[in-house]
Amino acid sequence: MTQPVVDIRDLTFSYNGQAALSGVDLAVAPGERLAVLGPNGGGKTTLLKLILGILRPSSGSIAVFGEEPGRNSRCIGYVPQRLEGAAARKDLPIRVLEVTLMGMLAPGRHGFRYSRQEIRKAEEALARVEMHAFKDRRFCDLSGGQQQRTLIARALVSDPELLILDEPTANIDPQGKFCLYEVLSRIGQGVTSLVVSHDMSILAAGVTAVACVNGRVLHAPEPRLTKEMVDLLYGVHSHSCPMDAFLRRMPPDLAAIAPPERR
Amino acid sequence: MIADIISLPFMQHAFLAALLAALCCGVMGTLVVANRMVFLAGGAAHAAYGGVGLAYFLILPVLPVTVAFTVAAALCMAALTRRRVEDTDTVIGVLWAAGMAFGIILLDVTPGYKPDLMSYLFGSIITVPVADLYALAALAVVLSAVTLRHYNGFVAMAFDREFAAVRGAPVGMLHYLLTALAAVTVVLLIRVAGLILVIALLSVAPSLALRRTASMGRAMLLATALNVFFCLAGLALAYGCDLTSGAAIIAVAAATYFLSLLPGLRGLGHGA
Repeated sequence: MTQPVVDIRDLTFSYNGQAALSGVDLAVAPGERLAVLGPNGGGKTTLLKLILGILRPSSGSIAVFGEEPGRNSRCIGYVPQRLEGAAARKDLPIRVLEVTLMGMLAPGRHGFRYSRQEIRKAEEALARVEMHAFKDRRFCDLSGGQQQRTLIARALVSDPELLILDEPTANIDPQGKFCLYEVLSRIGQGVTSLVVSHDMSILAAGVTAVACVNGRVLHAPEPRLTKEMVDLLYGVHSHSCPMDAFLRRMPPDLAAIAPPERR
Repeated sequence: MIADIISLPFMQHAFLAALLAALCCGVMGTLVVANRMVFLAGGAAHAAYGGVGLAYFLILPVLPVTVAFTVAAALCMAALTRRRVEDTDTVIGVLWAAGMAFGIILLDVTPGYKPDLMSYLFGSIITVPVADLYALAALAVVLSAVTLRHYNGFVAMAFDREFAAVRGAPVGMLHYLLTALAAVTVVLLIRVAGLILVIALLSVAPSLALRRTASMGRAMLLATALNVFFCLAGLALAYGCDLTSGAAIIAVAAATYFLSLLPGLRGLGHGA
């Protein structure tokens, strides 16, 4: 069997003495497109930060491309949920093209110029998310959706083998003609990807597997929620509760909403 | 009148000091403002008093001890605030006050002649000694070289620190480097220009420039140009009207800043 891209075994992560994640086992196979679902505060972003090496597990092991997290950052494209403050700031003079070029930062890289080839790659990445026309605009002058697309281009520019997106649909412009789901289902064909969302509609973005995160992690190798997953996400409700009646019609066949060519 | 001013050696020195200070503050201030470190620079400036007190107490040369002490204090602030960004204000406030108190207490317990602490830290650009001009020139060279070498890292750190770290950029090293450079800049410039003028040159021009340019590099150039304008106009005003030089420079800078906030001028040059 081929080596999993992400291999998590019996992982626990505690924050201020409280277990945020416990007993996590998760293997992401090469080429898999995994949707990571869960309620807000359930530990989704924590799981991503552990995979990226931003956080360290309290116990258990985690391997990315067979190595400790953080060592293979070159192979990973990362789209954060939001920029800490930077997106809200209006006084940071950074153009869209320059933001995209940041995706090529690497250890030991110096100087202030990017090569012509790197600039061409950044322009291609911007074209993939239909942001090429905005390349000379200041990032802080863009709408939320345009900023999100720029951050996706920044993740794509390094041709990552593993793409990690944290809530990529959170900032979609409501009236935008641009469809993020379409782009997500197109980008990273053949690339392993992890898409985190609290919104089940992410399953429409051509995923091949689901993981549910709420303190624990449950994994299914197809885009379909099991009864156990629904219980983890929504809790177990008594028969007199209207939520129980709703959930009994679940789990829906989420495979049915996957793009036709993947069925 | 201009020929009169230029022919005076102390005015020539003052102009040279102003140009060097404008460059140092234009480059450093842009990085400091973009990384939200103005308060840290202020804290470092005041903690410098601790260094002056220590130098007198140990009977050592004042400038090297002050620079070393201030850099150490600034690195302390950087280390304490790196992981927990939300505590930044408090930590800097405590070190700001503690540094000053430490210096004053050390001077109190030092026997013999007590210098006026203020005179060491509130220099005057009109009386700048030649040795300080050399120190400033060296600082300008070092700042320019470091900024050119780490430009992309500094920009990425200001924009999205976490992503820069994930990409393997040396964010921790850059954070300490920027803090140390800010501390050295502040200490050297305080002796030349005075504390208040340094804070003004570090914050007014860069914040004006950041809002009106499309890249950090251009913001540094514009901030330097604005600082040169503030200094030259301020010095001319000081000479012509017999005013205190530092205050005259700040008056020009502040007037420009508030003019730029007027509704009609707000978007002027936006995206240039």
